[in-house]
Amino acid sequence: MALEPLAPLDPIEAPEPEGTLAALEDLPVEHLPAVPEEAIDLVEALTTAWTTFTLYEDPRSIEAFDRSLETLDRLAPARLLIEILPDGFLFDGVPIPNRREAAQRMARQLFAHGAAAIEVTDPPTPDELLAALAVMAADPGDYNPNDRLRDQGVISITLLRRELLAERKGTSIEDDDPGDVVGAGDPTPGSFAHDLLADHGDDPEALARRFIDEYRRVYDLVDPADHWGREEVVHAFIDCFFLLPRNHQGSVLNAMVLSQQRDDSLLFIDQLGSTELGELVRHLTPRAQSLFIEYARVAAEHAESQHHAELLRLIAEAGTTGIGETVTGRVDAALRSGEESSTKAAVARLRAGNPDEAQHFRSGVNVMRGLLALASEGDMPVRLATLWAAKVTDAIRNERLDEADAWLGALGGLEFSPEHRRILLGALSAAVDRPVLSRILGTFGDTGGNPGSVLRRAAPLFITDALVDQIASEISKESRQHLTGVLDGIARTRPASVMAHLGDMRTSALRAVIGALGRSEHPEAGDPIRPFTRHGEPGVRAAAIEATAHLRPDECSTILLTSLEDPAEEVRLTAATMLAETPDHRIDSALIVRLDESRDRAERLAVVAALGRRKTTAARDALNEVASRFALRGSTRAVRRAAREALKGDQ
Amino acid sequence: MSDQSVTPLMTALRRAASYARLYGPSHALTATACAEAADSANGLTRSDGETIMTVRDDSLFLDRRLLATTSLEFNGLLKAVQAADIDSIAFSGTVDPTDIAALVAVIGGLSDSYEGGGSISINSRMIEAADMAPSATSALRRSYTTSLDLLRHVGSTVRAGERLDLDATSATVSDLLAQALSQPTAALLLASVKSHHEYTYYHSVNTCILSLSLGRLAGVSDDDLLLLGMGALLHDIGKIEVSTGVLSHPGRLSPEQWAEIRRHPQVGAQAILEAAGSGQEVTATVAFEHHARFDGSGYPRLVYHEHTHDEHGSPPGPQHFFSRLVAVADTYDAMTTRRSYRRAEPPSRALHVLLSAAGTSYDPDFTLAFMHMMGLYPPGSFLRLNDGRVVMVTDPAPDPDEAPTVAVVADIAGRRIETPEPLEIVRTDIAAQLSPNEVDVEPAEVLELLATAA
Repeated sequence: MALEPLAPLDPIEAPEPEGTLAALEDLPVEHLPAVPEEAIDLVEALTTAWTTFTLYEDPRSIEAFDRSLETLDRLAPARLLIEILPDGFLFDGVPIPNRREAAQRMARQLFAHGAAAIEVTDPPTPDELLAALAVMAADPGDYNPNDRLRDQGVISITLLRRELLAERKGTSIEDDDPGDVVGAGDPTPGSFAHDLLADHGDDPEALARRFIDEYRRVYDLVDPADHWGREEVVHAFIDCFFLLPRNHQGSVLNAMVLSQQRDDSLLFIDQLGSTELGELVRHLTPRAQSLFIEYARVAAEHAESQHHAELLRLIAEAGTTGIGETVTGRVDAALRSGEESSTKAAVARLRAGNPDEAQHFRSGVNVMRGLLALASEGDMPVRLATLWAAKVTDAIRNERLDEADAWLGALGGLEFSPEHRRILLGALSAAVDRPVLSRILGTFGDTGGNPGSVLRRAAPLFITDALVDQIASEISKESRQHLTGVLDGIARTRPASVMAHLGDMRTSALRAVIGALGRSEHPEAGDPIRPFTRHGEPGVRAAAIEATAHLRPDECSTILLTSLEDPAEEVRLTAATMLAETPDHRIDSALIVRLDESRDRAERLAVVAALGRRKTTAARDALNEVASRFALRGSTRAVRRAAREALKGDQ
Repeated sequence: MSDQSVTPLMTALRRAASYARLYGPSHALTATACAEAADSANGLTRSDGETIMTVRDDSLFLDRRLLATTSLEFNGLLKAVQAADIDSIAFSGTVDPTDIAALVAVIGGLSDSYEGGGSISINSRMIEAADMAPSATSALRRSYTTSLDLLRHVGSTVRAGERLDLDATSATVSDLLAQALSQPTAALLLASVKSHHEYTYYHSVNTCILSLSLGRLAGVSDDDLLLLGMGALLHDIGKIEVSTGVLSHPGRLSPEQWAEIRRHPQVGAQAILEAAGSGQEVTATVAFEHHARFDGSGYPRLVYHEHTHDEHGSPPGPQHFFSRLVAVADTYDAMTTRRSYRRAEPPSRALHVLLSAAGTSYDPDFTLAFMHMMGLYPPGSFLRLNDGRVVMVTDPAPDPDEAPTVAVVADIAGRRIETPEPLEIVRTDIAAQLSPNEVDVEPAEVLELLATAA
């Protein structure tokens, strides 16, 4: 991508330096010697001249400009050497009090020129002063500003660079210890910038090297875990960076871009706003420019950073216009173009597109779906599953069945692992209490696409726990029958959810569960039920025998026959009843033996009934014998009567 | 005496109180912070003789002057001061660091009474109540600080894994909404307040104010504005669970750190959804979707977009209306705030980013409406005029051809004007828009001064 040269930076757009002067102002006054009035007046006069120069095409006719000249005339013989800081002036090491922003701007501009001090050696003529101000106001460049003054015929005013200032003050640059500029003692971004320019103002590349060396040295001093500390270091050096003239900034950025594989370099470049980066691109070498484009492209992709993506477009499009102007111009144009109508149309569309309550709700469901989808790709947090379950059951509890359908539907289309499904259904099952169950059961009479249709379809997945609980505690026989009927339905369609309750310790619950499984027509339920034929509770044993006979009719003979000897009448009767339906031919003889041996009237009646239903010759013969027996005891008579009845039915 | 002059003292006091609580009053870090605070306090007393700081109703007065920005930025510290039953602190003579340490012990709850020397006196000197009369914007500012308090509470609630109190959020937003509707421009101006120390909270309140204003322009009903405001205020609460190390990392993040950052929408949405009653679900939507982007290119990926269709059989836009709205306000405020990893951009720059990505990342209609609402020169932004004066925008221009309403904050010579003066200008008077880094003036302070003068 070819980079067009861009316009120079407007110096007044340089950021406010957090400079030395402000720091010095915090020192107690009594520790600072007073600044001579002459020094204050000199700076005031220069500032006034600077201000009039920036405001008027020809300030020579302005009274304030004349007053400045008069003051400079008066003070020139004193040959005051005024030192320049990024945000103010010093005299003899003491800050010159001046709160005028114009003074700070002038100082900043002189500082950007690399000037360390200004001296008025002779009374300047109006033209000389104007020429000096013009040099000062020009964009800083790779030249010695004092040479430029001389070129313009200015001899009464001198701008000293650091080397000359040190010489004049009788000190040596070598006396300084640049190694401790930042990170030790009390240097500031301003003082570091000052030192950098003093030492390397005429060699931007050397300045960049020292800047980066120092930056890395201080950066490495901070523990990598100390994020705040690193942030402070980066911000301090960024602030220093913005106190440098633009071409020096370009050199530093150039070096940073060329070493962008280093974290500290990348971190530094990332700090810069895209306007600033856009303006600085033109100062990069061709190689650095191409690397910079790569940097911006990666940054845009890495962080989905809008401002980096937009920076790339701007660099390509800004042409000869500065990016700052381009940005402002485009926003302005967007506000104007068509404008009123396009803005009004946009607002009208928005007003017409306001969502309603239903859309708000649907968006909430969508969020739930999004959360579940994200969880489906990793761990399913129990907390999320619990939240989803609470939404479903709250809606049911408050009879908002359409909302319950929607919350349940949040799972639709998502793929979950068995473990995820277990967590979700577990949470939902746990959230179904008696009122919720009651509401769900109340929907079972509905059909079609009414609200609750999703709920009805899904309910068997998660209501079994609550249903079994309620069966266990239900007193009303009628209600229990209704609940048992629902449980039967679940057992037929989802036997596993019912089988999961075979561990229930409550007898009534266990009987209901075993009974439902027995009626489920799922033979696989036979194996887990079989052990319950030896359960301690007769009711459970009876239910288990019956269930086993239903589920495994070919394998239940032994159990049934054994159960005929059960001490509990209920069990014996059940076994006898079930034996009637067992196809095994050995059952007949076993029943006949039981009939002969048993003294229990009820058992014998059950055996008779069973023989009556078996329709075999052996059974009929046995019944005939019983029917023809003489009976003295009432129980025997009852058995004989039953046998006769059974034989009648057989005919 | 401006807000900026007090900032070093308040910063050092806050740090000292924090260190005192964490490490004890005699720890070297506490002592260093106390020494810095003493230096800063001496900086104040040196120029003004005795200096009295008074705290009243979440407002800090330095002598008789209300420091609006400081009151907002150091709201947490002011709360601690008030909780310690301190109404006023008078500094006189040379302030001794040991006196600061004694003061900090009281503020930090380590001591019931001040046991320091005479350079500080507590509750002995008060400013007359008449000097602390509420200004026209006091209620707005109080709403702002109440919102900050709420977010601090929400933060601790989320950290503890407890359920949010959305009723309290609703009440807070309701108050902020009432203030923003009655003083729309002042609200926008106040939304330019920034804090590096508590970025997320200030950013959330600013985003809320900007969203409410944009929502009003977009015709959102009052009931829905409340929901929108709640969503905007809570949109970033998931960041509470992101480690400070990641949030304050001053550079590019590792894939692991990115993954942690990217989780904040879902963490926040889940926390909100847990607390949301029927009808409040959309509040969670805003938190979940504010980074999802208009074209679905952001995060998290909105899977429901792939599986749901509207009654016409076409997929709906991935982001909800409110999420698209808040995304614009969120981006604008984030870009105009200095972060650990990037300098602040000027308002026009932030608007340009939105404009550039309108139709892809941002809803083009909301982008245009937002630009229209803020104007090229948004409230609270600073301009340099051709004559050198610096002005602050107090009301955006109603028409692109017109100039905004401004107040002068620095004169031709660059001198700061203590009491900003309203000024009528035309577009051609404007030389440049200044970046936030260039101007040493706090918009909230100017707002308060203008309100007081009015």
